[in-house]
Amino acid sequence: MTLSRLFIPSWRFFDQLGTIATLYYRTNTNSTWQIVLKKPTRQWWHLFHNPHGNQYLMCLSLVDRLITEKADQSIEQTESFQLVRNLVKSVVQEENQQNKTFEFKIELRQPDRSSQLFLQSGTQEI
Amino acid sequence: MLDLLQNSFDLIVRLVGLSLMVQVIEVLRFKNMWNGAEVYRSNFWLFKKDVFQSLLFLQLMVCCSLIFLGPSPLVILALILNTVIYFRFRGVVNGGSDYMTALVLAACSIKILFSNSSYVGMLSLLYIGVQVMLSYFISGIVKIKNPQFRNGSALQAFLTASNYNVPSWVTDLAKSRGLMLVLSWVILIFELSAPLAITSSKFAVAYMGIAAIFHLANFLVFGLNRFFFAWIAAYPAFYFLAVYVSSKLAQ
Repeated sequence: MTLSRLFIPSWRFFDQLGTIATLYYRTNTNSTWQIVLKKPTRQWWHLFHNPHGNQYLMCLSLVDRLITEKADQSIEQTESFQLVRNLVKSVVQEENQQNKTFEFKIELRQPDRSSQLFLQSGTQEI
Repeated sequence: MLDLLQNSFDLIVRLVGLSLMVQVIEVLRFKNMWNGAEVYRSNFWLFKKDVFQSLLFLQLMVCCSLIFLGPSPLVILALILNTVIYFRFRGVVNGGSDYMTALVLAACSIKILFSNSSYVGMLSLLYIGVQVMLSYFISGIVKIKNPQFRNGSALQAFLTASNYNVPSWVTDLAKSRGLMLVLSWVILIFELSAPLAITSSKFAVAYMGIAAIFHLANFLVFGLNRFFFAWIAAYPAFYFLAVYVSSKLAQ
């Protein structure tokens, strides 16, 4: 993001229906895929203080950034990939400190509800 | 006009202080932010845990000063610290609300830096006001170009199948195609009428009231609480712009 974008924004909110990206992880090849980002609940007082809701939105933007990034190099070398990897790692560690490895994948759901696999990582060490 | 300029500026600074305070307290409470599992970990000295935490607390103190004491050169410090926070997160934290906050802080900083010039001060506030108007108008333009928004299906899709945690009562309501069509056009008319609102101070006040309700609705539906505070902070400049434009039209 450039500074010019920060001070001269585009203001294009909710302008088009895009694909919906969902991030999954598993801690070994035999376990089932689980959703990484669980939607937080909302209360009226979150109008004034909504850390987990905003962190959830921030993590969604990380995944969106990865799927829209036009990388010259391998996607695994990009900063977006590393940030998403860190995100999954933090969730895996939070789930169980004993976990040593994990994999993650991103599925894209189109407006017509069809799904396709965008990316599946190799085994990642913690 | 100069009194209104100064009063608007005073109110903007206090409100942007409040908006920043909401944002900084949220960052301090981010999950896994302060342990080894942090997603955006960095070895840059400014972003190390203790230093970055100190910067956030410093920003909180600056916010208190802006809220209770009003305009001062601390606005510039708030802008610098805010920019550091954005770099820490490799970009924005919460999209449009961060853009609006940065823009308001930058314009206020310019007014502080050129405090001897009422002309620069006026331009700074007019810039914020124009950006508030554009934030609605451009958003309306890009939507009306989209046939799916014009027929209500885009709004329906956002409410029923998105990654946002939309409350179940809203997704139930969104099943009605007719309601979505009406709501889509209410939003389009509201957003596209922003330039009309700056032709009269009374229109502007009414528009800001409707816009505040619109942002509250966005919080209820999508959880976008920061937008509410970020835009409210800029509204005195929108009012100032309306008074300026209407006075020019009357000449």
